Amino acid sequence: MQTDSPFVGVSETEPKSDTIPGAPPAALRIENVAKAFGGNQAVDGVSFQVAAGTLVGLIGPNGAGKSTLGGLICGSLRCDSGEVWLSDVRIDPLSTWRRARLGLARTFQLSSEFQRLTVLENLLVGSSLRQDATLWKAVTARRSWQERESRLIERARQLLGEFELAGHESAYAGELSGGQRRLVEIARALMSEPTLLVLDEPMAGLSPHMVKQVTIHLERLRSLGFSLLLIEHNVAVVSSLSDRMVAMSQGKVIAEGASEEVLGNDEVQAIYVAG
Amino acid sequence: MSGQMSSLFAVDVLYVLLFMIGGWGLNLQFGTTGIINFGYILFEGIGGYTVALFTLGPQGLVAGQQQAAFSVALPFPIPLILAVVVGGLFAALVGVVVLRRVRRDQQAIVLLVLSLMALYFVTADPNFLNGSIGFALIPQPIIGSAVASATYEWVVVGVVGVLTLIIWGLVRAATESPFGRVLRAQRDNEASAEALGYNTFALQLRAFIFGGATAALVGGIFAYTLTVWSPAAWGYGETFYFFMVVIVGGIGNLGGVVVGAIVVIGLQQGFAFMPNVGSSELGVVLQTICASIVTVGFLALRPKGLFPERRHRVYSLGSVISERENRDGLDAQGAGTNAN
Repeated sequence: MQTDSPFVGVSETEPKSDTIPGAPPAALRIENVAKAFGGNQAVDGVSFQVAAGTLVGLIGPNGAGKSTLGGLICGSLRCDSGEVWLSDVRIDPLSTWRRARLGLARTFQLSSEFQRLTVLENLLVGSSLRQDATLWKAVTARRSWQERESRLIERARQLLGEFELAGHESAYAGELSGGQRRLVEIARALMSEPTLLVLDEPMAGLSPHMVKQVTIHLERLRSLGFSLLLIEHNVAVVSSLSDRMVAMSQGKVIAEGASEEVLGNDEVQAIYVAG
Repeated sequence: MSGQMSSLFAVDVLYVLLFMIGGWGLNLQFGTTGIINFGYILFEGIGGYTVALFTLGPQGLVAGQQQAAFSVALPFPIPLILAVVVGGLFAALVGVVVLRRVRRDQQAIVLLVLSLMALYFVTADPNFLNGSIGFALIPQPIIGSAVASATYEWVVVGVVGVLTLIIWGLVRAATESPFGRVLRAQRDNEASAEALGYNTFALQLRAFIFGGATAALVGGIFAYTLTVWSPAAWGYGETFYFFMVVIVGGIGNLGGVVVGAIVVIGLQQGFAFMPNVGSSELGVVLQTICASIVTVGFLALRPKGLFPERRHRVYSLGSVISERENRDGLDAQGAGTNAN
């Protein structure tokens, strides 16, 4: 399959030969990843990359294996075979929290905010303050973590402002609307200054108005140079945002490339138009 | 106030303080971390036995015609410190297995079964920890086997009061910090906390060890002050009195635990002053039934307890966003919060 960029592209046949010497590594590289549940091959030899600073959209019908692949990337599921690389670190043997510490952030298909924490607390949990989250430091180093936290609060408030949530910082996250919770989740993920942000169906269950809002925020993140993998059912949204798209069906990549290229693919057409 | 009344009141105050300490330990596990530890009393039992074994010594065992795998007489407060250490180590051992290997919704039953197994084992083997009879004549701190005066009991209450303040300070520092915040976060959504880079198992284990050590401290003090320690002191039903402290007071609220402890001890002492109806065992059963009804009633009608978990403070550049400000913020948001 032909790719426009050496940093982004499917290469099921040539998984390791698509980088140029001296070029920055891909933010995410997936090589021949497979996962089966019993007799069901949910993900079957998938390979593609997300170049640093780009947004790659992953589309596919229900059961295509998108969310399973998301779980394999983020660590909630383990690969049967294949490799997952975050920048130049192989992460597929690592636990979820270790992957996160390396710079992999994610949002979930179902809202996963911390409901009984305030919005501001949600963002602080997402911050790099995690090294201060120990019982020892809680008791012995109060002043030092408070100073660090003060700086992070400013950053959190800035993010909340950017996501139009400034007025809600003291509200419990569970009290917000579905769309606001989704924005809190994205803002929380950004607090960790991730190398890559994986968004799993961020538009699921949102009103058309909130879909528009979330789309605007994702567009802004893309323009700011974040590396994003957008796993989404809504093809119109994905095609409008993505630098490149990957289409999956029955656990396999069926098309990959620029949006027009993927949407013009016969198999994709068959699934989304005829299907 | 007569000497006896003063002494009874001192005992009541002491019990309230001990239930506060135990309640805070359980609250950190259950209220803050989300671990339903139905085997909590096991760690209190460990604390009591540790104090007995490291206080009685061979002479104490012989004097009371008691049997134990070993015993050595160490001066106060070494046995109490050892109780805390042993309780924490045992909690680490149990936690490594249960918290890592057992699903959260099944941990409660596993921990309950574990405490029952320990209870049955200790009861069945008279050579290990003197079986169902347990240990008697445990020397009290400083005065040993002498009869405790009212003054001595109030001094004990004072010392335990200082310990209570220390434990309160530790628990408060733990809960009002990034550590406590992350514990509450993983309680709400463990997968999300993992995805943000937190090793939730390690976090839960720390809270479990802290709670285990706290329960062992309570057991150790009980053994010292009661001068006896047997399986009857740490039956599985006792766990539910600690749960009652937390549930009635307010899950996740340190101040609520204080109220819960007063309610539990008040209930127990209220039954102690009631005239006998039938056998003395019936009185104990009625007390347990009453405590159960109160607990279930709270779970059904006021699940957050008398004092629900407070909105936690967030610190910014030396200023504190107080609860009041948080509440004001919420009020100001009004219906707009749910506009979408």
